[in-house]
Amino acid sequence: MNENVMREVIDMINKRIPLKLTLLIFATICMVLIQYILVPGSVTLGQFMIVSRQASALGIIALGQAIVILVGGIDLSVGSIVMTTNLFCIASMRGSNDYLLYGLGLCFLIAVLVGFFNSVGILYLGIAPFVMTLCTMTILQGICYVYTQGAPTGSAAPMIRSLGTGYFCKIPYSTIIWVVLAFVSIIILKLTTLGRKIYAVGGNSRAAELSGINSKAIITFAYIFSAILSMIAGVILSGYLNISSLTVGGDYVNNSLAAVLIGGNAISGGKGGIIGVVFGAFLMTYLLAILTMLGIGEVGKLIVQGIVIFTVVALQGIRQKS
Amino acid sequence: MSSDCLKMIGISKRFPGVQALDDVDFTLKRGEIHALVGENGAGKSTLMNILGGNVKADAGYMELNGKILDISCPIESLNKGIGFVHQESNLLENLTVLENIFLAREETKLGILNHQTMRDKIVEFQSIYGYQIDPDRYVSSLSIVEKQSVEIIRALICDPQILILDEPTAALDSNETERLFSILSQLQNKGVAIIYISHRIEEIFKISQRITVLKDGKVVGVRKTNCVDKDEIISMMVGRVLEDIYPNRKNHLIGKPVLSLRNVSIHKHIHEVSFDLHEGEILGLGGLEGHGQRELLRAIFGDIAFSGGSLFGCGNSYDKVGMRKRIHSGIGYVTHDRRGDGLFLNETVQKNIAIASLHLRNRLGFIDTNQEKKKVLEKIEQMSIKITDINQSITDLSGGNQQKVMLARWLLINPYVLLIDEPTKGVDVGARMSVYQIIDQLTKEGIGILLFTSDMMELIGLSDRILVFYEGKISGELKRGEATEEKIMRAASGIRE
Repeated sequence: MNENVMREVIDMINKRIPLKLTLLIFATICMVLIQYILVPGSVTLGQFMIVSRQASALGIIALGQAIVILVGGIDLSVGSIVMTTNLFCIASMRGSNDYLLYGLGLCFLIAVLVGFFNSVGILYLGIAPFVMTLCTMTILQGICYVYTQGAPTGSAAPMIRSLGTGYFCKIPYSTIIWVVLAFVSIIILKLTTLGRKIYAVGGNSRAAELSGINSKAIITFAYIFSAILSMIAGVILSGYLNISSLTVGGDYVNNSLAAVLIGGNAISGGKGGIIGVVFGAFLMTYLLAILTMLGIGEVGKLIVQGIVIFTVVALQGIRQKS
Repeated sequence: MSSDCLKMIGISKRFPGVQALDDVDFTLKRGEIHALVGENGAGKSTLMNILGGNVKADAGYMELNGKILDISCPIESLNKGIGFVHQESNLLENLTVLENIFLAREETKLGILNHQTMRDKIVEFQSIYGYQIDPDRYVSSLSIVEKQSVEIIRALICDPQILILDEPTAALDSNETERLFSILSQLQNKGVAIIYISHRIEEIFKISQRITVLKDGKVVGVRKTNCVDKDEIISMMVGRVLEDIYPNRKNHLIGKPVLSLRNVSIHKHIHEVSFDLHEGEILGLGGLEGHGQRELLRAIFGDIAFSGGSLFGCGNSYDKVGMRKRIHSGIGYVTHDRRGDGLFLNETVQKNIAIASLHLRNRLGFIDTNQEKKKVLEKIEQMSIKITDINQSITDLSGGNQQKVMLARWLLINPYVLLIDEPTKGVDVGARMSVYQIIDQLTKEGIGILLFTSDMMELIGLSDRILVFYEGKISGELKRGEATEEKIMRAASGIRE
């Protein structure tokens, strides 16, 4: 009896919501309505742009995280890459555009090395992705503390600052970068052989290998891609904050995973897309903005955030099961 | 005294895409050896898995000694006196023999494991039946034969009333088979009822009292073994004469060598083997499983390395060439474990077919999707793969159509050699014929096919030439027409002609 009712409910959800995106669009509309009712007059395009700028760093990191999860891995080092980038970006640029390329080059190099280091540990030393990237995270944090001795200094180049705070036709630069990177990711996944191989490796790595796919190369690409995107997010944040902080990367590991899951991607890999992940990052940030407007404290925010993530992921799960 | 100890009445079971069992009745008498026969996919394993608690029936009921038998999990089945020796080892490799034998029904004293009692039981049991395996050895260190012995001990240690044996002799040589039979007759004298699944008709006639024949999920008939002959059983199993199932290749022309192996070895599996595969030839690797045939196919494909010798074909030497280059040059490999390392189960039909030949439609990193769709549809039509949509999930397809998808994947690389490990595993009988026709058609286009199958009739029916393997060496070579089950078995046991 109970099982039948459950099945009917699932069928109903399935028929009504043919795309997993519908659920996310629905959630967004709900949140706009809630904001409209609770804080009348606060719903404006400008406010949306501010939320999108706040979401951009998380959004960009989540794109990389999504690709790593698609190949069947997980990247816990994203947050510490953001922190490291922030630190080196600020310290190397010394507030001048003269050092811009030098600073960016340095950050890029660090990101590629970290991504490569992760994949070497996972592929050649057989360390589980969770453990390997956890180690990387800890090592990077350690390096940052040693490098700064706890007191970071410096400031970002003016061009980076405008990247973090400026607008193009009322759209924040960082939002534009986020959208462009999302498009690039979508094109890679949907139209290229690389994208096809990413899904194949994540879906069944052994079968991929036996179909002539170099799964090691694909996995290496995913971790380097993720590290580079985290680095870009780190640069944008540096421009926005204009200081380096040893706490800046903190939440990005959990939140990027949450964004990927809210997007409806499978944590086991091989399944999912990018648009959902973009929505995921936006929704999480938007939720925090609304809670802040309502004057809810940190603890309350965490609880609400947890409940929302749980609800969306559970709904996605029910949809996928049937 | 002919009391039925087990009745299975009206059992039906449906898996996605196939009716595995359709209203099957099966009875078992105390103290009899009852053979259950049928082709691959006839439903034998499903029926036994229902009895063993691995699968739940959609309809029907079971009675044990007149009482309704309700089984929901394997350990419950074991506790009710039904022992099951599976075809493939179900042991946990990282535990010891003792831990495996008593898994989930350990002897305890005040909640603490009583190793001494368990060890004594095993030693006592072994002395009765003549096994000698140290209970403290890790299963990972055992040979295939020893593992199977452990499975049998595990099934027998708590005195079952019913023992199910699924292809117990597949990995055994003739001496070991004899020993197993003497154990079975000892059990029979104690009143244990035995269900014996085997492809080997000779064995069945040697030890069983009754035979139940299954075909396409239905019971074709139950016969007393001494009132029936082999030919009748085979025709009941197959439902038609052998010639109709397998393609007629009598007048098929075979060309020049396309792939040559010279003194190749694979560490621990193959020792100094040489042969040629010819254009348009179906070359079957025969012999018991585990004598290096599978490894040989995988090494030719480049998935594992040869430890010596050379491999060449069509003007290429493959000795320093990896798997990807071999695929690009036209060597394809259809795995025996379709769901394990063949298909991408969460992908569509199109993507499953296209995956191995992406390099042929690569335009600066982008996929030429129009051409891909065209090529895939072409193959789907050519092989009459039954789909509703090219973007349908691969899991919606029946085993036969999934196998055709695997073949289609490799045909898109324009192969000149196709390595096939178990062409029709998990494929129902109707679809098997169409897989055979496809293979036959491919050889007419000049593709050389090297295949391994554990199904003896398939091996004989399909191959133009059979190389029988024993302990990593070729122990016999038989041409189409001269190959018989007996000759192959003799060579497969290491007896040279």
